[in-house]
Amino acid sequence: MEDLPGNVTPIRAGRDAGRQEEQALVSRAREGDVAAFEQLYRRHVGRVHSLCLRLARDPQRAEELTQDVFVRAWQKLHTFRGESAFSSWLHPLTVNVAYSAGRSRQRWASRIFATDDLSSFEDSVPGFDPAAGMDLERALGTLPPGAREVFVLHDVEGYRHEEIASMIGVATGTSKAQLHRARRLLRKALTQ
Amino acid sequence: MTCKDVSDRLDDYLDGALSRDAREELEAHLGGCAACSREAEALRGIVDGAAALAREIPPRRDLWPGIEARLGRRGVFVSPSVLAVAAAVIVALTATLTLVVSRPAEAPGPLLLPDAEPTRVALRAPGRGVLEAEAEFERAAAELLVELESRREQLSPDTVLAVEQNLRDIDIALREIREALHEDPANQGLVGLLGSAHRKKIRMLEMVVRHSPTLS
Repeated sequence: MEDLPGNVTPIRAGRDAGRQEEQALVSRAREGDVAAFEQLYRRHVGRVHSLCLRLARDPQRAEELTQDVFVRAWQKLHTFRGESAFSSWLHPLTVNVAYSAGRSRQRWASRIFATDDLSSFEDSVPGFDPAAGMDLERALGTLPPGAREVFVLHDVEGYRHEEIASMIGVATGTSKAQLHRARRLLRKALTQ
Repeated sequence: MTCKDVSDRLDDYLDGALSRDAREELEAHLGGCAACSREAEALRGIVDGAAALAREIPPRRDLWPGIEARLGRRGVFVSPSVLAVAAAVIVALTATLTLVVSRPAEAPGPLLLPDAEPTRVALRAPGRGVLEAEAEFERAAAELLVELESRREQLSPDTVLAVEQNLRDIDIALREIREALHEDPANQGLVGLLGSAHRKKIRMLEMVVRHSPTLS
């Protein structure tokens, strides 16, 4: 194989070293080392939180979900085989926790309340000031839940429709339809 | 290819999912249709904008203390949480009550004096197993109530009201079942109802605790 440009080798070596270091942290955390798990938290919290924030729309709820994700990760660490990057395992778990929590809140709320009125549990849609203009991040918050979830997972996070369908339990066609809807709604919101 | 065809295929085009022939046909249409070209450009902007959004957004505060509190003490392997204990209690006590229900009815035992709680009706139970099982259920519920009380300030007034109302309803049901059991202590169906009511109470508390914010 032809030698790659010289500056690629140190990058790859650095990446491999980082991966090995992370694998060591995971191994220690699996043995019950909370300090090692904290280091994993510090490495991945930004990524986990950004996904929770875009799915939940509410900063406080996003923080709760982020905590739930890491607690769940701690409980499920024994299922991570270490064949892929830790983030490849942690990210779908994040989607699962965030997505399930959103659905659970509605089911739980409907059991607690005698009526079907769930309005007190609905997160308010972030408002926007038309005079200030709407950027994409804020426009995301105005999307209906299903469309927003698929748009975030596909266009922001880069998952394929087949992966999204598997993660959130819908048909691939549904995922495509939701993305179609999301993009059109965003186009409309951003051009108003 | 019509404008409708283009509109239907734009997403696949933007995602690189069209065959070469389909892509070329669509691009040929875009070259001659200003409206579709504008649409494609606008959607491309959204797709590119999404890909450029920040992948990492740190939370406003350090969440680790709250996470660590739910894992267990630092350096020690995780100990069961209040929720896990409650779940274990439900499983164990369900088995206990099931065993009591399936056991042939014994002669009624001595009437047990009420304990400190004045509203509690003593059970002339088929055996002491039911009373002990009830005590365990109530201990689990008390632990969850303590946990919930610590988060009371973080709960919305609607949630507090709903929880109090549900607890009142379940406690009324428990009292009525106990009164019925006092009259008919050999009624295994009532014993089963008693267990169901306790489980409902614990599951309700468990759900509220799980979904309520902590003070971390």
